[in-house]
Amino acid sequence: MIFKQFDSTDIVAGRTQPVSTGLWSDGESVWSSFYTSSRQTQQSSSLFEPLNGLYYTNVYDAPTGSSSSDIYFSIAYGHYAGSGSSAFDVNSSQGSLLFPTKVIYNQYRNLLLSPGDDKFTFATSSLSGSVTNADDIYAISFRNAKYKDKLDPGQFEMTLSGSGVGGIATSVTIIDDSRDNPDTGVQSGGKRYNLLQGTLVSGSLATRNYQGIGLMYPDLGIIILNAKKVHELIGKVDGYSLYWNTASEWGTNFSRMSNVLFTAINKGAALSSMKARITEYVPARHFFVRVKNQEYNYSNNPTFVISDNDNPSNSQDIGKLRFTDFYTNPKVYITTVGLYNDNNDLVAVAKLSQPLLKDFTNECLVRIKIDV
Amino acid sequence: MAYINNEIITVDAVLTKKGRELLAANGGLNIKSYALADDEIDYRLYQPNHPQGSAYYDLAIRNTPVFEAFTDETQLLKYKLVTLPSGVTSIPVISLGQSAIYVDKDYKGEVVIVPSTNPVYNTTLGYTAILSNKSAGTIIGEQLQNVTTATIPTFIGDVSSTTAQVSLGLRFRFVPNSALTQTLSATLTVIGNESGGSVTIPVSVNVKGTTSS
Repeated sequence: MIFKQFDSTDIVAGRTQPVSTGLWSDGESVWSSFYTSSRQTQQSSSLFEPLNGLYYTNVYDAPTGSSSSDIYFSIAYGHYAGSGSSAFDVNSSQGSLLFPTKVIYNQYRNLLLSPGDDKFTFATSSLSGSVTNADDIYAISFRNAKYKDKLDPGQFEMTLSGSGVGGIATSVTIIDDSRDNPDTGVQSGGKRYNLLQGTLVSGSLATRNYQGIGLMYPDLGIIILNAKKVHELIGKVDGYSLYWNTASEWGTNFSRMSNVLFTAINKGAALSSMKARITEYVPARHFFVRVKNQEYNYSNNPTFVISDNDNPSNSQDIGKLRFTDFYTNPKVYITTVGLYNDNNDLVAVAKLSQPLLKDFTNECLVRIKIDV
Repeated sequence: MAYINNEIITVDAVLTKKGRELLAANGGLNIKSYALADDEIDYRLYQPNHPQGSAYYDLAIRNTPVFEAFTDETQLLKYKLVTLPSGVTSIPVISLGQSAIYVDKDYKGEVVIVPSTNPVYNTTLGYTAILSNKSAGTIIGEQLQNVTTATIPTFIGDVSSTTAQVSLGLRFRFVPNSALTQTLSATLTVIGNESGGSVTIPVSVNVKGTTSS
């Protein structure tokens, strides 16, 4: 007998296994430098198409010319009334009147807020119901292929850096409040956590000391920042306000609000790496291969027996077990387990890390996991 | 006092090409059975006279590095482990009535292949015969009732797999291809569906005045 049927109790199916890993390349959980594509961030061209940064800016983990470069998240700026859309777009004689910042604000509102809730609100203190409305937001949307099934709450940290007040650079490090507030309710955008100042190592600066900074939607891989509050904390970034202050800041340039936050993120990451972990739920089946003591103690391996090539002194020895020790106590060494369907097709194979001794005096239990 | 070893070996399985093909086509693998193999092991490295004692007899074998899993199912589990009664002194060996098949393309008789296993085995599930190139002729299995499964991986590679013919039976007939225009060589492999052992012989269908392709 070379095939053995699985019993029904040998197969465990229908289980999903959470697999947690770092968000960034090669499973790293920290990343310190980010890049954008110049095709998407130019500020003076009249090139006019969505990929040209009209709605969002894609952020890469490596220079875009690099073969390893990949988009990890995008940054979009949204304004309740459409302010901050580029001067080119709102020029009624030349533009297309797309109002991209209004589009952004409304699409995230539709996705994340309850019907009838017109504006994003952010908690401003530990007191229930103490909130502030925001006319302008930043949305950091992690790419689905990167965050898999969810961003891990309690594992996200981001530092933002600006020019501060009076020219003194200021930075702020934010985390989610899942440690202080683990039983957050499920909102229309799924689970939602508030962002507050703190670090993963030390926790929040003060428990539930919300300042209206932002929100995290881990199941959707979305971070919403209150643009005006972030501006209050870190000041301008390279001369630009983080919220829509005045069109004169931009002069003849396209307004590229998402670029401003990107600069704050990139400068902040240089001070303290952005940290994030993710979870993927992998459906898996487990097969228990139970090899009893009486089973599988002989091998069809040609070296297991004496062959012509061994030039035996007695030709009748050909085909006999190679060692007389094996007559009473044969030993084989398992290296491979093959799984077969009912048509005896070999559909999956598992390799042991080292040969496993099997003889009449021992039994083996091998658990095989298949992610399907 | 030491701790009892209650270790369960846990390994990840890799789908073969056939497995992925079935998964894509049917949405499931329908795994029903398993087999074990020791493809990497060279038992000649077992040293029953090792000067340092019995703990060292199989040291070289136990330290043999194991390959990662291939995805080509035809190259895996070549040497399967088999369950036999305790005390046997030889592994069931499959033999055929002939060591080769050489026939002319116009041969009108039958080339009958009757595998046997010593000691007696493979009487229920029979044998799988694989003609490596079906252009050489036709292999026909006989005398095996109500067995529709027991296809054995053929070990002959993807390219050959597309040209091979597989048949099940307790005995086989080979009919040469009379339409051949050039002498053609192939191999016939017969595998025991219970014991797992195999034997391979050359096959040549001769076309007068031509050489083998």
